[in-house]
Amino acid sequence: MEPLVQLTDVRKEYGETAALAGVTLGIRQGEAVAVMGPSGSGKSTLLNMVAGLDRPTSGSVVVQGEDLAKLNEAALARFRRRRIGMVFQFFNLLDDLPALENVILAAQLIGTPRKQAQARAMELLTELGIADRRNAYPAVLSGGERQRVGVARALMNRPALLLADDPTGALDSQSGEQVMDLLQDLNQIGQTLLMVTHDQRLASRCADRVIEFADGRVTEAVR
Amino acid sequence: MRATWRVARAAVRRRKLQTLIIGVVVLVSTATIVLALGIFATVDKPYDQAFSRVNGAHLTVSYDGAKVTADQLAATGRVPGVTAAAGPFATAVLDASHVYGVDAASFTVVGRADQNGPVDRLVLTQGRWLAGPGEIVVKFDSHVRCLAGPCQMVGRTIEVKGRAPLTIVGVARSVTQSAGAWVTPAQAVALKAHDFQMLYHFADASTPLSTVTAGLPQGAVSGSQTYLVPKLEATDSAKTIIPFLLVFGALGLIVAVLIIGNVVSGAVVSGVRHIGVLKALGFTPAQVTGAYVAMVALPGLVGCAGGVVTGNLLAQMITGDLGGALDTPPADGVSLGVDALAFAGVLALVTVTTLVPALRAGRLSAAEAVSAGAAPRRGRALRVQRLLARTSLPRPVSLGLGLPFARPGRTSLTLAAVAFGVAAVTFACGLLWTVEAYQRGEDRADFAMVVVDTQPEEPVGGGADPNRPAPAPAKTGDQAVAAIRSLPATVKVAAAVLKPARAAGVPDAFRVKAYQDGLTRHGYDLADGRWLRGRGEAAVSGEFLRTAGKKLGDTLVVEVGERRTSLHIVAEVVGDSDEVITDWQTMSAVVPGLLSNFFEIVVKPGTNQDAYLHGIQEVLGERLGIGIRGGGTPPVLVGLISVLTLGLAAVAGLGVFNTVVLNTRDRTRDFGILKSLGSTPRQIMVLVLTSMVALGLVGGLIGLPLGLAAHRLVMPMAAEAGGVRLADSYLLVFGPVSLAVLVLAGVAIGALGALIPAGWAGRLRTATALRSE
Repeated sequence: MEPLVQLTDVRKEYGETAALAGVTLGIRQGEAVAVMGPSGSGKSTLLNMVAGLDRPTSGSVVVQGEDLAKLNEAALARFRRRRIGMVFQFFNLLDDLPALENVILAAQLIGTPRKQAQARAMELLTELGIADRRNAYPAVLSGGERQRVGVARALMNRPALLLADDPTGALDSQSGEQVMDLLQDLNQIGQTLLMVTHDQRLASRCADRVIEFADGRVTEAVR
Repeated sequence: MRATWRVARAAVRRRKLQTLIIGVVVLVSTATIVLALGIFATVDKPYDQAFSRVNGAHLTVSYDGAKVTADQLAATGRVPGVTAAAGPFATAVLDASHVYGVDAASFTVVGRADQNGPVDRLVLTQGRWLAGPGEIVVKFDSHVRCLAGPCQMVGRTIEVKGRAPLTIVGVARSVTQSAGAWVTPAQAVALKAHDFQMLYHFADASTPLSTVTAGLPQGAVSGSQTYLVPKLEATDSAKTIIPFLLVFGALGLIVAVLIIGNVVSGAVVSGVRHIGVLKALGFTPAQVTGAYVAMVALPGLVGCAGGVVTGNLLAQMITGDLGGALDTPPADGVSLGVDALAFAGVLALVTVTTLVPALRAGRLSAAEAVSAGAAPRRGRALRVQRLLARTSLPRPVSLGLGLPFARPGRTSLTLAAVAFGVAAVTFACGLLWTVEAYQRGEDRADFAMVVVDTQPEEPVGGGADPNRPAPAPAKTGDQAVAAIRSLPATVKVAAAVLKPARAAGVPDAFRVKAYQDGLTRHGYDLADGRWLRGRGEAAVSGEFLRTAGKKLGDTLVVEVGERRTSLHIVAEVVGDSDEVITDWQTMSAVVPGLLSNFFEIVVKPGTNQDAYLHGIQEVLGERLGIGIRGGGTPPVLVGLISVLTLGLAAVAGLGVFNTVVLNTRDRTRDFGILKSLGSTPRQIMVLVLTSMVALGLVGGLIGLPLGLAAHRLVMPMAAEAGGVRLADSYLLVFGPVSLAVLVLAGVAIGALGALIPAGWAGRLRTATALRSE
C-alpha cells in the first residue's frame, strides 16, 4: 500500500547549516508517528516540510500522492486547507477571535457555508469537552482548553494528516494528559498522526512508531 | 551614556526600514513646510527688497508748473523727515495710441537725466539709458503682449502729433511706477513739459503729503501716489495665492505631526521586548528613554537636514517661476531664518513626539516588557471582530475590516493623516477648477475664441516694414461681419467697437467696448449686479471698480476723444480690467458715425487656427490684430499646486505605509497561523489591503467635506485679496463624479500606501511567522 507521506532524501539547508541532511521516511495511512530528538535536531523543519510550510533544498515530499515541490504557494495553501491539520506547541490561536470563531475560520477558508461550519465546529468542541467555552477568547482559556481549541480547528476540515508540533510542550501535566488522550482517541478512529515531541510519555502512549532525530537525520527507529 | 548611544546606534542599524520611514517622513514633511514658508516669504519680501535696493519713493507728487517753481519744489526735498528726494523733474502727458502694439491712450513722460539718483533708481530690462534728445525709455509692463509674438520694444519709434518721432532705446522698471516713460530734460522741454514731479523717501514711510507741501501755494499739487499703490499692484496676484498656501501649509503641518507621532510611537511600541532586555541588563529608565529618543532623533536629524535642502531646491525652482509669473522681482530664495525655524521646529516636534512613548518605555517594568509577545494578548475590539465574523463577507475581507479596530490609537492617527491628505487633494482640485472656471469666464472662450481688432497695429509707429504690402482698404463693420461669416469655419460673430477713453478719478487709460447687440451678455459672467438693459449703462470688472474707487450704482464720467458721457455702473463682470462695456446707442451718441472695429468669433470645433487666421487676413486685410483666446491656468500655479498636493498625499501615503508595516509586524504570527490553515498569499494581501482601503474610504469621507469647506472658505478670500469677486458658479466646481473620485483618493492613498507591505505580508515565510512573537 502506498504510504500517505513519503519523504525521499530530503535536505534543507540554511546557508552552511543543514537542518535536514537527507531524510527518507514513509508514513502509512492511519499510522501515528512520533519524532523525537534534541532541540535543533531538525524535527520542526521536518514537520514544516510535510505541511508544505517550507520547501526542501533537495529531495521530494509527497503527501497523498501530491508532490509538494510541484505546487506553487497558492496551491500549497489549498493543499494545507484540505489535507493538513496542524496543532502547535503554543496553540497559535487568533487572540481577537473567540474559540468558536477560531475553529470556524479553517472551514471558512475552504468556502464552507457559515451554518454548516458552525455546526461542525460545535460538534468538535462538544466532543472535546469545551463547547461551554465557545465564546471565550484565547486569553481567558487555560492552556489545555486552548490546545483543545487548536485540535478542533485542526480537525475542522477532516484532514488526511494531523501534524502536531510538541502539542504538550506548553501544558501542565493534567492538560498534557487530556491532550494525549485526545490524540490517542483520534488515532484509534483512523486519523493519521505525525507528531514532534520531547515528551517520552506522549510518544509511548500515542505513537505506533517513534523515530529518533539528531543533526537533521533519522538516527533510530525505536518502534 | 556610551552604552545608551551604542544601543541607539545599534537600534538604528537593526531597524533599517523603520529608520528609513522616519527619515523619509521627516524629510518630506520638512521639505513641504520649507516650501510653504518659503513661498509666503516670496510673496511680500521681494517687493520690499527691490524697493530698498533702488531706494524707492514713498511718495510721488505731481505739481502744477503754473503754481510752483522748481526752486520751491527743490526746497520740499529738504524738509525734516525726508531722507532723500529726487526732482523736480519736468513732466508732460504724451498722447499716443498703439505704442506697444496694443491699445494705449496717454502716459506721463518724465524728463530725467540720470537713470540712477537718490530716489527710485530705474532698472533697465531692455536696451540702454537715454543718450540725448529724440530718445525715450518706456516703462516695463509685464502685461504688454504684442499680438504677433513677443514685444521687442527697443528700436520702435513713437510718433507724437506735430513733433519729431521718439525712438525707444530702452525699457526700464520703476519700483514706484513713477512714470510711463522717460526722456532727457531737454527733450521734456521740447515736449512742452510744464508740470513737475518730485520723488520723496521718508524716514517714516507713513509720512503724510502735507509734510512736504506745507507752505506751497494752494492747488500746487496736481496728484500724488504713495508707494503702497504700486506695492499693492505688484503683489496683488501674489497675495491672491497666500490664503491657499496657508491652507496647504497648515494641512502639511497637521499631516506631518500626525505621521511623525504615528511613526515614532509605533517604533517604541514595536520595541517593547527590546526595552525589557535593556532593563534586564541594568539600563535605568532614563537610559532607556534616552536610547529611544536618540533612535528616532538620528534619522529625524538627517530627515530634517535633507528636508531643508530639498525644500530650498523646490522653493527656488517654484518661487523663481512664481516671481516671473506674478510680476514680482526675483526672490532671493528661502531665508536662513525660515530654514532654521523649519529645521528646529520639526526636530523639536520629532523629539517631543518621541518623548511621550519613550517615557512610557522607560517606565515599563522589566518583567512586563520581557514577556511582551510571549503571553497571549487580550483581544481587541472583540465585539466588532465577532460581528464581522458573522457577516457573509469572504473571511480575508472581514478579518481585514477588523484589523484597524485592534489598534485604535494607531488607526486614528492614520485615519486623520489620510483625511487631511484627501482634504488637501480636494482643496487643490477645487482651487484648480475654480481658477480654470474663472479663466474660462475671463477668456469667454465659448463666445470669443478668435478676436479680430481691425485697428491698425502701429498707427503712430514709424517702424513699419517698407516691404510690407499696402494695407487692404478698410471695411465697414457690416462688410467685415459679412466677410467673416463667409468663412466656412465661422459659427458666430459679435461686432463691437473699442475706443480709448479716460475718466476723472481713474488713474489708468482704458477702453470702452460697445457691442452692436449690447443687451446680450456675450458670455460675460456676472459677479454682481445685472446686465445692461438700456442706454447709459456700463458693465466693468471688479479690478476696474477697485482701481477706480467705484462701486455698483456709481456713475462714471467717460471721456472719449473730446466728448464725454455719463455711464451708470450696473454690473460687475469677470473680464478685462481695462474695459468698460456699454451699448452701441450710448457710444453712437458720443462718437457719431460709429463703425465696428472689433470682432469676437466662435469657430467650429477642430478648426485649424492658423488656417482660420490666414483666412481672416485674406478677407479683412493685413493690418489686423488677431488673437486666440484661452491662455489657461498659469503653468506655475498648476506646478505649485501639484507639488504641494503630491507632497501631502505622499506623506499621508507614507503614514499608511508605516501603519501597515507596524500592523504587519504585530500580526506576523496571525498571518502565519492563517497561512498554516491554508490562506493563500493573495488572501493575506487582500486582508491587509482591505484594512487600509476601508480606512482610506473612511478617511476620504471625512477629508472630503474638510476640503470642500476649505475651498468654499478660502477661495472667496483669495479672490478678494486679489481684488476679484468670484461668481457663485466658480465655486460650484464639484460634480457627483468628481466628489466620488475624491473620496476614492482616500482609498487610493490607503491602497498605494499598503500595497508594498501587503505584498511582504503575503510572502511571509509561514514557518518563520509562526515562531514570531
